[in-house]
Amino acid sequence: MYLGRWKRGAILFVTVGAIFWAGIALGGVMTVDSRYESWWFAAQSLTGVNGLVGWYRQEQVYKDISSDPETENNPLAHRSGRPGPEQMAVDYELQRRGLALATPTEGVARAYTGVAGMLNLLCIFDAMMLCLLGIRGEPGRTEPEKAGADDKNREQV
Amino acid sequence: MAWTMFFHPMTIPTWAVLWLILPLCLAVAVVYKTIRVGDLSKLPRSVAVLVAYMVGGLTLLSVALWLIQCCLV
Repeated sequence: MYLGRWKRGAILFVTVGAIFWAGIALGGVMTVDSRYESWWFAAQSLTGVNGLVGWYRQEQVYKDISSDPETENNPLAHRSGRPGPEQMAVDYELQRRGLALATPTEGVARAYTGVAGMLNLLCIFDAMMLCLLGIRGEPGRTEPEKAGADDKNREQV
Repeated sequence: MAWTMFFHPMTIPTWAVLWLILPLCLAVAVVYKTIRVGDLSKLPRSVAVLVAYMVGGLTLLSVALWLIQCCLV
């Protein structure tokens, strides 16, 4: 939008937001999981504010679980092996609350949100390149300016 | 337990998973073509063509993989 491409900016904003929140609608609050799905989280956080809101919501769930005395009393929290006892207890608690993601919802929801982040990265990269090249406005509007510049060059020659 | 949208996960039947590739392809096509297309009035047509390419390519790929699997088993 800074580049004067308002329509394109609006289309990209709506599309990236829609695909990210469609993923959250499918997978719920734990679609964004910064603790145990760090690679997906890296992609999801590229959606900017959307990713931040998703991160904040899942962090609230984790805080709620850690402050729950039932988590400490869970026998899974004191077992050994992989995954670690903490993750086992958290997974158990998420399942008890109906928040745990399972196949195939997990894959679809994380793919939607992750792809939204990667698409946003593509948009950021494109906007940066246009900025560096000094290209502003819609392509059609810049044509008269280019023509004017060509005329000046001819006069100088 | 009451189901809440954006909080609890949905239960997606296995047969429905493949259909969910279509909105994803559409989103990819819209974003890519919004960046690439010169004239925005040509956007819907370009998006439709790209979605058709992607869905066609994925279908061909799945058929090829299915044939390879049939040959191996």
